[in-house]
Amino acid sequence: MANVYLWSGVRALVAEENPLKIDGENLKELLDNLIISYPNLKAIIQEGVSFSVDNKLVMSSTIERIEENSEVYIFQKISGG
Amino acid sequence: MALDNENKNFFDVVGTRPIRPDGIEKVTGQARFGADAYLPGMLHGIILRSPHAHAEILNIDTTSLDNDPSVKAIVTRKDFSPDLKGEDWNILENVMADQKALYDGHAIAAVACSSLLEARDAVKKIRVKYSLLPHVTDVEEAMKEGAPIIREGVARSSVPKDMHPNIVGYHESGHGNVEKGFIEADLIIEETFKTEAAHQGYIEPHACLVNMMPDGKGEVWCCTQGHFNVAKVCAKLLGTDASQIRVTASEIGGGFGGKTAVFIEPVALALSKKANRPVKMVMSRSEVFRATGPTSSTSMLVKIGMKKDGKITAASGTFKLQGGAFPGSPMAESAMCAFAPYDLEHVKNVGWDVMCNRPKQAAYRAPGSPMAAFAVESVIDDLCKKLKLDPIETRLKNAVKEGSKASFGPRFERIGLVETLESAKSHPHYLAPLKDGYGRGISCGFWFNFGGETSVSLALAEDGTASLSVGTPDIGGSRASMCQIVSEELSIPYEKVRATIADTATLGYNEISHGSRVTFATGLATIKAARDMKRKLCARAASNWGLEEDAVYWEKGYVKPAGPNAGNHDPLSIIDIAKTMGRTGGPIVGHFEASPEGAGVSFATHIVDAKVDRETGFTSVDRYTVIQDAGKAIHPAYVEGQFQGGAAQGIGWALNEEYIYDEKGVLQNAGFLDYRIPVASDLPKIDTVIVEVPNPGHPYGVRGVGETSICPPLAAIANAVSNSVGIRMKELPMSPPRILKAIEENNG
Repeated sequence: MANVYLWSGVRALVAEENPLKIDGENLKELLDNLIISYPNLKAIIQEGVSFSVDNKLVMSSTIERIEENSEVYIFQKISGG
Repeated sequence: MALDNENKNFFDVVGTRPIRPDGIEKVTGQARFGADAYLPGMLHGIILRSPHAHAEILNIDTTSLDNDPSVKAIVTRKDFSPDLKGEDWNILENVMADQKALYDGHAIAAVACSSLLEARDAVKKIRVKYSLLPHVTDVEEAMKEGAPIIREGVARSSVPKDMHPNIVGYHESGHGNVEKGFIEADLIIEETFKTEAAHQGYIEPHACLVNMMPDGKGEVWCCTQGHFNVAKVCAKLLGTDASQIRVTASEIGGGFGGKTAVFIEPVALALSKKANRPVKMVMSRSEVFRATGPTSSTSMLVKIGMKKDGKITAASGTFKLQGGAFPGSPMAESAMCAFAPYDLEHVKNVGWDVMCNRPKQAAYRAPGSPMAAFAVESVIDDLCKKLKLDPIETRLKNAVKEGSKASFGPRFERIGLVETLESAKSHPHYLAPLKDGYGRGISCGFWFNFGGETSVSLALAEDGTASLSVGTPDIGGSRASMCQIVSEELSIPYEKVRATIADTATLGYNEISHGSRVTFATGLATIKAARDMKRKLCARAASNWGLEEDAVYWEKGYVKPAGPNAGNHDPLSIIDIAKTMGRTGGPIVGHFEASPEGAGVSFATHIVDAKVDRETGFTSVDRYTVIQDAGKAIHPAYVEGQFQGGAAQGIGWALNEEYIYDEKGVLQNAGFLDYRIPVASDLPKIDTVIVEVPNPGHPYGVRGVGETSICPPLAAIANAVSNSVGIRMKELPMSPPRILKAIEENNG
């Protein structure tokens, strides 16, 4: 299971658990499972998020592979100029 | 052959400075920008804009144009798709108002006429009945109880309940326990800072020529940072298919983030659809200021605790950004970038997205980061002064490096902040004595950089030359860099490669040219496409020789037999293979279509010497040095240009540029005479140092360079001003009146 860290502004929605333990072979599966476990995160994730997977910044692609014990950070979506 | 994932460390062409491929066209005036497009029979479109900051639109009366033969089409909101939601609705609402005018300059209606003069006359005859509403343009005022509500029910789900309806986004991140960290500090400084909105200041206004044909096929020629996005947005706003709108990007006279948004193209298409004629629209400078996004204005509170030895014990920041009359200010980026250069045990970042009666903010180079750096780096400078610490040594003591936990969460991969600081410390600028009356300012800055959807095609011609099609408009010299990459990979001369910005019908979707992504992502795509072509060249040669593909290999522009068992064949050059490709299997084309990630973050350190004239309040910048990690500079002259451009725009933002609204919420300085961007005489020679700490996520080590260079200047100049005049300026711009006022208050 991956260790999933949410930005602190939304941790209240997951009862302050940090990190969350979530399954998934890639980011899409992980997000799907995250929403199944915490349905109140669905709207926030759909509003747009970016990621870091094992310290690699991932702005939008959800095919990024997740390993056992991967560290996944989820941020509010980042935009550039 | 492992052509796909080979990382290169030694280069023949990359890192050199060949002549830019668009140079002749641009210096001879032949380059075609947005306003240079013409079609027979085209009409001219003009938009009627609200003169009010906030008003209900009671009626739009166009009857005076009913019998005007010059008027070929009129459009209002009802001519666009009624079924949009979310950000699509926001874009449409900004393109053409529905029930309310939300800011001075908001589009209300548009007309198309045979000539521009007729269109200008016609639009004045439209009568709009407004009911004025109270307005607010200041971020702090907009959050207060009783402030006019821009729009109910817009707040994102992350906003705490019971907040003012104008607060539409909330961000909080960080780690550790800041209260514990502040207790450990020997000195704590907490200050508030404000910055005004600054426009991207591109010289070329928004311009387009469109033709919507009766069969529903649309053609658009426009200046944009993202023509695929233009097609997507126009299709949504007009209720048609994206594939039916073909968009060609013109040359672009500056974008800096401001041309990532769509403003006039859907209006022109709607007019064209009604008139059944091509329609051209070119914004005036006043329209550009009033109705296209500047960056957000801000109000920020920063608190930092430091030990006597310079170690930061804790840091917290609250960053309130107004994004105009729509959600989406880059407050999360401000919060996440603010303390990113520093390795902190205790840090807390908070961001607020606030709506005001101003135009919808648009991205501007590293959106949100420069303002946050202004606040944070100002406080760090004051801490250094009070604790009698060297500003570079103190930053080095706290600097993040590979493995450091970022203030926004994960640990950094290989990064180059320390290298920029070390370079600054030994730079002749930092070692030079200061001239009388001058102050020296230092600042660091950080930006993420991006990847995103990218599609390129590399075609081989029968003479062995190559034609590269990319889908990212060239806003910073990318065509030169891409030609260098093809030349490097295929071992053919740089001059034998031509790069073209292909239209939206030619390639798969390409993300906008933003986020400093083009040299990283399109560059990576070009490397992969060239390697795909090399694989196909090898396969073709093997086939010609009757060998298996793994019995040949590629070396410096030639395919060769892999060993004695492969037979005695003379090496085949690209030209040899190209000239027979038509009858040996057909055209040879390399492709790449994917969404590369791992762009690699970047850091910069700036040094500036500035002097304040105590009688006039005028600040002169005497010397400026930009030191930035580029990962790998493909074309160093372009990289240096990006560094210098960021510094120049930062100087303008720091010292003069601001949106000035009157008491009615009407913009008072919608032109370059009153909105003062720096001109050549305002700028010193800007020295540059390219640091190259390779990005592990790119085959050549490239990081984006276009945005990080605007992150440090606001703070670096503020620190120089503070050291020159002895007063900490906490509000931008540090214009002469504001500095004079600060001097007077300090005296007395």
